Amino acid sequence: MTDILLQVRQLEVVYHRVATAVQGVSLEVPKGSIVALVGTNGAGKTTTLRAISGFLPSEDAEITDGDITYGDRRINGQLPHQMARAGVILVPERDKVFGTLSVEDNLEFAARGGGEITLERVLGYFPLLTQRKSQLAGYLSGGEKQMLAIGMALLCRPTLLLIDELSLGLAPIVIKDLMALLHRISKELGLTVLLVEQNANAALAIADFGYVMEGGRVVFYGKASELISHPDVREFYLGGAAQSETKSYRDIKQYRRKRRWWG
Amino acid sequence: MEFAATIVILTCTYALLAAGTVILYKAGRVVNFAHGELAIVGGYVFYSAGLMSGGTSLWFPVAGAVVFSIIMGMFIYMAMMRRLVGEPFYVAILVTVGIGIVLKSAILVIWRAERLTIDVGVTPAIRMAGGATLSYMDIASVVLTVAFFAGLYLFFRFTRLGVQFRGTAENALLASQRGVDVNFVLSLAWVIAILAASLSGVLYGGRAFLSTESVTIGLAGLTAALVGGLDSLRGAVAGAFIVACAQYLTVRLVDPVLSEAVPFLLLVIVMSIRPWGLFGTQEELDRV
Ligand SMILES: Nc1ncnc2c1ncn2[C@@H]1O[C@H](COP(=O)(O)OP(=O)(O)OP(=O)(O)O)[C@@H](O)[C@H]1O
Ligand SMILES: [Mg+2]
Repeated sequence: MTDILLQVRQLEVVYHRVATAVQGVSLEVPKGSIVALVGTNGAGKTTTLRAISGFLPSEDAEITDGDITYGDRRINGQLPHQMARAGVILVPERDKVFGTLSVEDNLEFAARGGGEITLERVLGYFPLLTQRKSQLAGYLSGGEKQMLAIGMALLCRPTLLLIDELSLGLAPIVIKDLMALLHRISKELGLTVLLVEQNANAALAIADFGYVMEGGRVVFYGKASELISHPDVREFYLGGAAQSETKSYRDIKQYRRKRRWWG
Repeated sequence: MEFAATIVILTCTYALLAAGTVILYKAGRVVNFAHGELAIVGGYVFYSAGLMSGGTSLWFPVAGAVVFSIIMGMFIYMAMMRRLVGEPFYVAILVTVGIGIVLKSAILVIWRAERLTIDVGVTPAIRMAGGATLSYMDIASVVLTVAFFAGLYLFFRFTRLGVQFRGTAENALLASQRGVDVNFVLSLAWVIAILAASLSGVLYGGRAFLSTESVTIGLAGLTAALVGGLDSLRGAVAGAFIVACAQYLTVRLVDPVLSEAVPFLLLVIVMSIRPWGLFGTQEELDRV
C-alpha cells in the first residue's frame, strides 16, 4: 500500500464570496507518483491547484468546504509562502517568472540552498538557461519561460510539485520532450507531481493516475492507462472517439447523460 | 560656487525623500502623502534623542532615528496598509494623508511645534575656492546621501533579499509562491523609506529648521519623484535636482515667498506634458 502525500476531500472554493468555482472535488496524490488532472476550460483545475498552494488575502478566494491534507497536516487556508516553505511548489499557469529580473536573478530568487537540488543540476536539466543567464526573463520565449519556471520551482526544494498547464503555448514536439524530462526529473529526485493539463493525451502518457474535471467537479478518475482507453474519456477529453465515423449531435447528448458524477 | 553648493544640498534632501516615495510605490503601489511629516518627525526624534544623551555622542540620536523608522515602518504597514488589500487605491492614499495629520499633531503635542535647528556640534564652516562656505553638515549630507543610494543599489542588485524585493514588487503572488513572506518585504519597504525620510529630515533640520511648516519638504520630495517617474530611482535623483534648481532660481530671481509654490507648479507642468515622468514607464500610469 502506498502512502498518500496529498489528499483533497470535498473541496469547495468560492471567489469574491459569490462565484463557486469548484464543488466537492476529491483527489489523492500518492507519494512519488505523477497524477494528471485534465478537463475542459473553466473546469476548475487551476482553482484546485491554487487552493492547495494557498491564496493571498488580496485574491478574495476562500475554501468554503472540505479538507486538504498534506502529509498528516490539514493545510486549508495556509498562505502561499507557508506552503512553499513546506515543500508544496506551484508552477502557475500565467506570470510564472519575474519578467523584470534576469534569468540568473530568477533562479537566485528561488534558491533556498542546501538539499540535493543545486543550481548546476537544474542547469543540467535545462542547458538552454545557461546561455540566457543575463537576459531579462520577460524576453524569453514561451518554452524558455516554462523551463525557467520549472527550474525556479525545483530550486525551492519541492516535495510536491504542482504544475499548471505545462504545455500551454508550446509546439507538440517541445511538449513531448518536456513531458519526458519532467518524468525523468520526478523519478531522479523522488518528486511527487500533480500535473494540470489541457493536453490530456500528453499528460496521461507520463502519469500514474488521472482525474478528469468538468464544471467544478471530478467526473472520472482512475489509473492513467485505464483512462486513456476509456471510451467516454476518449470521446470527450482526448479528442476523437474510438470509432472513426462522425457522430451526430444526438449521440453526443447521449454520452452526456451517461456520464457519472464523482465526489 | 555658493549656488552650486545650495543646489547640491537641496538635491540631497529631496532625493532621499523621493527615493522613499519611489520604493513605496514600486513595492506596494501606494503613494505616501505623509512623507514630509515622517521626515520632520524623524528629525525631531533625532534631536530629542541627542538631548537625552546630553549631546555627547552621535550614536544615540542615530539609534533613535533608526528605531523610530523601524517601529513606524512596521506599524504603518502591518497595522494599516496590510488591511487595505482589495480596497480601491485612493483609500490607501487617504490613509497616508491621515497619518500625516496625526504626525503633525504629534509635533504640536510632543515638541510644542518648537522651531529648532539640529546642531551636531561640528565646526560650522570651511572656506571653498570662489568664496563659498561649506559646513561639515553639508559635506556629511552629500556623503550620507551618496552612501544611501550606493547602498540601495548594492542591496537591490547583489543581495538575495534585494532580488526578492524586486521580484515582490513585480509579482507579489509569485514571490509568495516561491517562499517569500510578502508582508515582511513590504514592511521592509516602509522601514527603508522612512529611514531615508528621517535622514532627509535631519539634514534639513541641520541646514534650516524643524517645525510644523517644514513638512512641506514632503511636497518637494513627491514632486521630485513624480518628475523623475514614480517607478524609477534614477528618476528620483534627477527629479530632485530639477526641483532644487527651480526652487533656487525662483527664490533668487523672482521672489523668496514663492519657494513653497515652486514644487507644486512644477508638478502641474510635468503632469500635463509627460505624466509618466522623465524616467518612468508609461504603462505604469494605468495603475494609478
Ligand atoms: N479570480 C477569479 N475570480 C472569479 N472567478 C474565477 C476566478 N478564477 C477562476 N474563476 C472561475 O472559476 C471557474 C474555474 O476556473 P479555473 O481557472 O479553475 O478553470 P481551469 O480548469 O483552470 O480552466 P482553464 O483550462 O481554462 O485554465 C471558472 O468558471 C472561472 O470563471
Ligand atoms: Mg487553468
